[in-house]
Amino acid sequence: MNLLAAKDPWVARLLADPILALASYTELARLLPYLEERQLAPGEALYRAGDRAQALYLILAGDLSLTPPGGATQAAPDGRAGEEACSEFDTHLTSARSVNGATLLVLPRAPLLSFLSAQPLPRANLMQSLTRILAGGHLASDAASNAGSGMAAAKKRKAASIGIVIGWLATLLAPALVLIMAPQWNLAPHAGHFLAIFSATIVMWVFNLVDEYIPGVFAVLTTLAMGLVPIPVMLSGLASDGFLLAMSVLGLATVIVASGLSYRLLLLLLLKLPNTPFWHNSGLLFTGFLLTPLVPSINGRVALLTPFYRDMLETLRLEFKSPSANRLAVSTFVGAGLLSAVFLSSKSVNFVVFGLLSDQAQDQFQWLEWLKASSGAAAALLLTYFIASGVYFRKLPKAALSKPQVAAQLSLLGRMKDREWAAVGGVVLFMMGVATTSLHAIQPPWLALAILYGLLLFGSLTKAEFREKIDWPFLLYLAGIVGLTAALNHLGLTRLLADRLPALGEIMRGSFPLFVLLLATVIFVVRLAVPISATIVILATLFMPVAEAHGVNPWVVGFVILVLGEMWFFPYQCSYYLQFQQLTRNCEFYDEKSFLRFNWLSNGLKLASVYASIPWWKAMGFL
Amino acid sequence: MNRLRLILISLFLAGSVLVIVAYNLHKPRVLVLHSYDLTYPWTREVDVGVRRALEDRSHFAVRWFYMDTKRHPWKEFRQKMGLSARQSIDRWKPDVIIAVDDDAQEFVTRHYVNHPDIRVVFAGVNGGVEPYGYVGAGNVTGILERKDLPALKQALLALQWQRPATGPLRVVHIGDTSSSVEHDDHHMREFDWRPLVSLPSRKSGTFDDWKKAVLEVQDKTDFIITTNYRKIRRGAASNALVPPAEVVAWTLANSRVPVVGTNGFFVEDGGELAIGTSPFEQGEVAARMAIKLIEGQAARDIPHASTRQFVVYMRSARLHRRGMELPPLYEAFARATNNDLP
Repeated sequence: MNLLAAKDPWVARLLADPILALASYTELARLLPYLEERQLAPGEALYRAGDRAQALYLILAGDLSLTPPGGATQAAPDGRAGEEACSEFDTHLTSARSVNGATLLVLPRAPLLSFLSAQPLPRANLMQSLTRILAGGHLASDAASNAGSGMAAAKKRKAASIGIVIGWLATLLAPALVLIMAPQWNLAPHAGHFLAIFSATIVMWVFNLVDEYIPGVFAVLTTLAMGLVPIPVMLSGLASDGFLLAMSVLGLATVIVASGLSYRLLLLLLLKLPNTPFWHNSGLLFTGFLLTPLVPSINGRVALLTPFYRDMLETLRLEFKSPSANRLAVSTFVGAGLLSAVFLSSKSVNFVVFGLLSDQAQDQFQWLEWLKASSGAAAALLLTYFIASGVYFRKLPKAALSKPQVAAQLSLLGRMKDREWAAVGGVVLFMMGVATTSLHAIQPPWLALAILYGLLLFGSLTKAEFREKIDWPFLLYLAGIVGLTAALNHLGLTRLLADRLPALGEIMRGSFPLFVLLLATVIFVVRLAVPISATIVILATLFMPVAEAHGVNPWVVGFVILVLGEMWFFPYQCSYYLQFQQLTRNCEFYDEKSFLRFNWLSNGLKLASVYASIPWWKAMGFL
Repeated sequence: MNRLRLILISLFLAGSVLVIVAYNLHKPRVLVLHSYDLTYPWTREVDVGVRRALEDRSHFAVRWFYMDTKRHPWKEFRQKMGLSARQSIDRWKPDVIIAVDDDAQEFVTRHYVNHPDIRVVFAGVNGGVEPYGYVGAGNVTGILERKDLPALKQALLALQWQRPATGPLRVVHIGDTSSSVEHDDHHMREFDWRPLVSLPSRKSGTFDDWKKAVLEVQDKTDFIITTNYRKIRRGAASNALVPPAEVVAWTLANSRVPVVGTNGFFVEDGGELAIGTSPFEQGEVAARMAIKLIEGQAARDIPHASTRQFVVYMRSARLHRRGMELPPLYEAFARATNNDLP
């Protein structure tokens, strides 16, 4: 492109423009036939304020100055004029004139608007440029963004790029190392090659080098291309119960959120609960709990709940960063995440753990059975949270929620819409269907798929939503992980791992509490560098087969990893906390130090809850 | 018009769901309940037999449950898995349970004797079925697993090797302390080995006991016969089991006399010759009995079957290297059944 640019002055000029150069080259190429050149004599006006805005102009040679009404004359920024043609304005807001004459490249309005319709970033930047001209050449935000964040962003970029370089180096070295060591580990050639692929996949996850589903695709592609395991084994994730259940639940969740049902539920809860600080907090908390099985993403629940936190602060007229505001922040955040391991459908990575279970264990831990098995931990988590928050946030001043405002919000939503009824119907059918599996003999994954089918059939879930709102990359990620585990089993590598870790297996079987402590330590160390999902996936992939080989219930080990994997101490460790920070305008509403102190305490509570659940699991015959 | 469309779609959806539910409810359900797990070659091959028999019965709902008690032979684990299997059965309510090997009978299916809706087909039972209450039970039939001792005797007589001793050929059985080995040993004691001489068997709980037994019989026997060695603990105070391949490797390295297995997995674990009960037969016959039960035949009308087939497993190249020769028919049989390993 640079070569071309050197040959063609028009192309060179388009690419030299800092805003237009952001557009795709294909779109720029489409624009090229519409361009023309225009000459301006010295002192000639290009347009005056109030003239029809017919084109955007780029200076090829000469000069051009702009004068906003009542403002000072300024040189055309980046040699560009006529940004009004890129906007809804019909006429020019400034006047443009050349002092010494100019040659201009003219971009006519109609093709320009068509070109910009698919280019949101250049369009926004052109608008900002026009605003800057009208403001006299500078915007307040320019200084802030240049001074404050510029340095920090540069530093962050540098640190990130060093991490990426180390990560890719490790991705190259890890498989090479495995291939060298494989003969010493008595691995068959195909098992050694698969382990090399697996190691590269894990390193890509650990260093967060690419989107999390891409390493899985890499593993599937290379394993199948080399013929290391049969195709049905490697692609078993695509036909697994977990995949179908996850896809269907994601579809149902899309309808729940897009129909506005989740928002209506939240308002109803706030309207009906007693008007005291305890119940305000409980309202946010229980709304989060209610959304937990229905919205299978903690980030999604944080995004749904945080606006209510902000509304509640305003409605209750609470002072920012006051203890009451802090407690509400904690209730919002905890509501979104505390019970995420308790329901199978509350977090995408839960489906990964489900997919790693054997067929008979999947049958044993379907949705309702999962809930039953985790209810001991749920009770412990809730109890310890209420005690800790009661002690931590004692003696809060009284404040009252404006019920009329909530009622007004509800009345604005009007009556339940068809899509909301469809979402209610879907949830009720799913719950009832799961509870009565023994009567109708349809397993939950097929039941969920039937509900998804119904939603598609009735148009409650549109084709566009099905395509765009369902997290297809996650489903590929899930299929990849299940396929990887199946391949590990097929090649006997899990057995080998279990044989190599006899001490760990002995500890798991002989002293489960000690194993939990060891696991918590491992997770604490790993989580310093590795994101939540990757930590859970890697540890579950390693430890669940070891558990099975040593006669320990793999679901229990997977569940403990799910609970403890959510522990975090520093904001960078938790993507949904970073999102919460952003949604609360960088913690403008609450005291972050106090919030983080409570979070540290919560980590201890999670560990305590796991220990408290052990008698429950023993009583259920799992341990 | 829109309302009519919605009604028609609803009818279509409801009809589809009704058909699915009705079909599922009438689908015959078969649970294949294994005592062991898929890392055990015997279990895998029983499954091959089951699948072979059921391949044209795609309208059956078939599920598998592996109790995994070979790797975890402790009583509390077996009880726990038994409970888990029973819960699974009570949830799914299969029409027929194909229960393979003794633990499945002891911890699960004996609780369903004379159950009005569930019928039981046993397989892989080494001993008698009396302990499980199957005698006279109206809902139980199955196939007993008996070592093909006549075939084994013939093979031992046919095996040519540099035998240091003279006189009648002597055999000794060495195994672990599991119940299946106990049952096998019982049958071996009752079997007429003539013209061979059977010496008192040795059973070992730990690896040290095993080593001692193997070394002690070297000058007293001409063959060691081994039935199973998967429940040998690393030490008296340890629950860790010695990997089967390690047991076999040590035994072959330290035994001057030929070691012959009575199960195919002996050769998979590194052994050189086994005359084994056919796991395929166990699975296939049990699955065919399950089909008969589902098709309306009463369990009491299907007599208990017993092993009729044996399979030869060998590593012929290694046997030759050690100067041991069997008639070519054995080698051809092993090769034809893909059981002549390198």
